[in-house]
Amino acid sequence: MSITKKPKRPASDIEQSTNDSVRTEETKIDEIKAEAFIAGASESSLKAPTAKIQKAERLPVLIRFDPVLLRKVEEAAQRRGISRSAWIQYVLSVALEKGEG
Amino acid sequence: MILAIGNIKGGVGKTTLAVNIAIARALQGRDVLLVDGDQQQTAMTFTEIRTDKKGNAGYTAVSLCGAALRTQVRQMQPKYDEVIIDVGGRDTGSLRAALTVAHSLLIPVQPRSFDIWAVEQMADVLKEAREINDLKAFAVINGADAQGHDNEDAIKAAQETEGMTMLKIMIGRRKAFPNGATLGLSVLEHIPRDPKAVQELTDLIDIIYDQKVEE
Repeated sequence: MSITKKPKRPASDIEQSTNDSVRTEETKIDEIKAEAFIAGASESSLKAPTAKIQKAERLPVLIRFDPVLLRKVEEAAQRRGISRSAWIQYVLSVALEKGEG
Repeated sequence: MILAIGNIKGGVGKTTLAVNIAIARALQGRDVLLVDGDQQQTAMTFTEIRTDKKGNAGYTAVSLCGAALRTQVRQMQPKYDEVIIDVGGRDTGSLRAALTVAHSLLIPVQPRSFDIWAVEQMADVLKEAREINDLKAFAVINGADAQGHDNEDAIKAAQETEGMTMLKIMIGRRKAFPNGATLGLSVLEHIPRDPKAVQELTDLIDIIYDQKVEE
């Protein structure tokens, strides 16, 4: 099997750098640009429904924790770099997938 | 460093390379976060198998998609030595989000005409991404044929694509990759050891992480 080149298309080249450390007007513009770029994906149909389902189906739940256990949960979440809530949901999902419940 | 491994074409071996690179870096003592940005979540499944087999994956894996991938990766990056993002298969929000935060992009390419055409489409998306984030981009032949001219022809064709470095090294179509993946292992850990697969992966990692310059 041989390799066939695809016909060329003309295009321009624009380069610009960003600085994430300082929240300047420039970075705000970059954030808007980034959002627009992400939203410009040709297969964007997955994004809106996902966000909608998540917002609609997430319910706040009050759970009382032993302080020692809660501290351990917070440390585990911190190690993973995610929120306490996200960590609890992640661990519960794994347990349920493994057959718990 | 944040490394995205992606292509708008599917079936090019993104996840295989992503998990192998994540494990290789973890074995080198780096604290690695593997982000699965693919809706199929193959990297997460691989990690589950690996964790079951070994007790500990050796890296942290999370699944993120769409614009959340950008915000979450930026928040998590300082907590890890390295972040590896597996994205794409199509032009998705996740792929684009990864391009806005990654320092480097690795584009696996199969030595086939359709794949070479897709490289040019990938280059267009990359060019757009560089208006926001000036990332490096490498393309590598993955699943290289054992014989014939297609590998070299594909490299030559892809070299003409602007905005990315087409690597001369290649990852061969070696059974050690799928065999290891089935067991939750990288080619570095899989027994019997495939020295060629190990060497190819090691060379690729050295180039991507600036530990070696390709001649």
